[in-house]
Amino acid sequence: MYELVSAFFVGLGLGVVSGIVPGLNVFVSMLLVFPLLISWEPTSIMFMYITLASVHQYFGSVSATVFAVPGTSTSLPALHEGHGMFQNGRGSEAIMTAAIGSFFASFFAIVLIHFMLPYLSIFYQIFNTHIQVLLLTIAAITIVVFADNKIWISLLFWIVGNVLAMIGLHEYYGGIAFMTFGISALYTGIDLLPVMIALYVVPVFLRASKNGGRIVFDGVSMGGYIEAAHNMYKQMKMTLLRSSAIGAVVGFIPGISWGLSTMLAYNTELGIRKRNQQYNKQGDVNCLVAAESSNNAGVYTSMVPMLFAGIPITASTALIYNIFMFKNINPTLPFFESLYQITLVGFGISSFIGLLIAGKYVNFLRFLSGLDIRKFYIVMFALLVVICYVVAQEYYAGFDNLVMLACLLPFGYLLRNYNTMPLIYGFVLQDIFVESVYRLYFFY
Amino acid sequence: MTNIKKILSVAVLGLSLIVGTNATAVAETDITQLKGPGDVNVLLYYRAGGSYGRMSQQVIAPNLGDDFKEIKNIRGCAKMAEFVKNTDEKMFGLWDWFSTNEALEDGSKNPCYIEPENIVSISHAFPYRACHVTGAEGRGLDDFVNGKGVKIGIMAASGVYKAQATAVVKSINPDAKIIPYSSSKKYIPGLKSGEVDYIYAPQMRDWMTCVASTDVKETQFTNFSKLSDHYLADKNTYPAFAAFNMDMDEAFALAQKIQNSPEMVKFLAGTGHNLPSQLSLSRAEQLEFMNEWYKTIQASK
Repeated sequence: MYELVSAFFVGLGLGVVSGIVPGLNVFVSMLLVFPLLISWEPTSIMFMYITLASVHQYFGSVSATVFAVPGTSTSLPALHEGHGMFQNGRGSEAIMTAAIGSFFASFFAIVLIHFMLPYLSIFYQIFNTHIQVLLLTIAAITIVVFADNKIWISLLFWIVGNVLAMIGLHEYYGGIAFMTFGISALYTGIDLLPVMIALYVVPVFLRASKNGGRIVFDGVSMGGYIEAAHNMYKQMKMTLLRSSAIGAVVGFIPGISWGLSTMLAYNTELGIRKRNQQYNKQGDVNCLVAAESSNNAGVYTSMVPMLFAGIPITASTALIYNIFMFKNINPTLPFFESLYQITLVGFGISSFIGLLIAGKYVNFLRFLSGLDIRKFYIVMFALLVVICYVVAQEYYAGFDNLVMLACLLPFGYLLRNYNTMPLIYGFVLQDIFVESVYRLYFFY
Repeated sequence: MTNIKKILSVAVLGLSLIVGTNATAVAETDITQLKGPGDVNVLLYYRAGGSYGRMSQQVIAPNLGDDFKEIKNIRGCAKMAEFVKNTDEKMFGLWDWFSTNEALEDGSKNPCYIEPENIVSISHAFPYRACHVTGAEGRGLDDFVNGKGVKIGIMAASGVYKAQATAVVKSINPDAKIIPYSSSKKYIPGLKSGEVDYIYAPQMRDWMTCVASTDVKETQFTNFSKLSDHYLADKNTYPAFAAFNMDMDEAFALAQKIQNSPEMVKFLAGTGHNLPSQLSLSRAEQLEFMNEWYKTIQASK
């Protein structure tokens, strides 16, 4: 019991920290406590993981909305829409609506999993390369079509993102060194963090700084949550259901999981809102909710292949699987299924407490209200540069990241008037997209 | 009431952060963060949570005892290769010699290449097995060998492994369709979805039935050498130990100490890997064996 309580608080603490600090995702957080995990019982490991993943989502969303700091690529839509709302004095609405959407989607995913257990074999079809290529193609087309640029510009961004991601040594394709110029640091490719900071975050900062002004932020309240929930019930039922369903199903894709589900749900909502001429360029709350809810639904469904088929499809679940093997636990299906109940309990407790603590954190951030927006972004940029170095320095690659950031920053400046999300998603999805297409070739 | 709520909230937040910080502090007793009194560094260019990373942390480092200095976790084999060539510190650890030996597609030297003189010995072995989903209709050894157009997923993380798997599988069933996957995270789901009929890979799961193996020790399976006369049909894959700025006799003794340790036994039991019979050979004979393995791949391309 003591171990279980410790696992909960470790998950909670790490979820808070990893949600706030970019680059510290769920997987890296788990590596930080690897020796603890090795010493724990499987139920405690699962309890800690579910708490960490759940709380991480709430805090990551707050960081993206308030600070325009993307913890991972899945935070980009939250950053684009949520921070847009924050800049226009609607930060509180963004945070409360996203939190309720996330909670609903998590609950939706858990219920869906529960009722779909007898039919899980249908969902395993999504492991099929053909379906993956189809979904990835849809994701690519929608982001190119619906981003706020001319289509050819978005297409160009998508291609540039792919080219940047291809830099490195590709052993899978028989040892192709692409644009490495004999530089050893480039053989492992470029990190996501400098690309995201230079080519996405900096343009956002520059656009927002142009007009100057001061931050307006009221924090959150119980009354505000109730009002947001009421409004969502009246106006966003379809958005919630659609996005949660997309998140839950696409979360099954190995390797990319909820990264792709977030993108697909966001693009779908973006397309619908634009078609109906309802899209708010100053930050669209429906699109924000779509991204956040699909993200959360995907987190839970991505665990299902491990729990019910012994197949880890994300780095975090693979780590858990490896720990079980290291502990000489035979990871059979009945064993994994026995962990299902603790997962449910973990979800219930961590969701409520995560919401509560995130609310306190948000209200603490009210001190930002009234700050000069330009100074705010200068401080945020300095912080991001430090994080970009520190996160990679663990692998002696901090300086490499800084050099890459410096090389890309001028391009970020030049692209300040464009939505560069297609570039970032081109970068993120390139690996799995190209490999899937390449593999498809061998089937015919 | 509001005050009680505030106090409770702050208490929970504080407690979480304290425990979270403590967890990080406990994690700092993780051997990757520690420095020992010795002068031998453990080289690590894989992610800490993977199989090689775990072996470096949980098996190699503890076996260095007082000789342990620290784990040098450097991103990527190319940077590590550059580092070990330019340092005068003692370095010891796992090296995927088969992959890093391989020239690039354009014929240029692999940036991860290290000289054979730095290879200490075989570290351990991971066998390849042919497996299908348990209960899948029509699947079995006969179908694997004779099935027309059966789809076989292979581990193709690098060109050399792709060539090895292709050579052995094609020597058994020339009509098989070979589908390359970059990692187990992709071919295991691929098998589960039914897009491939078999996998030829080191992983087994309880929902799979395996029908053949490259490992002669795995007598519960048909050995591939009974189905093929290819030289590699009864050969596994063999990660190596590499050492830099160390006396090779000292490094070889260290390798043997690691292989005979209880930590290694535990690690192997959890991964399905094993200690191959070639470990009884001298260092020179082991290097010759690995060289032969590698040359066979080159010849079969």
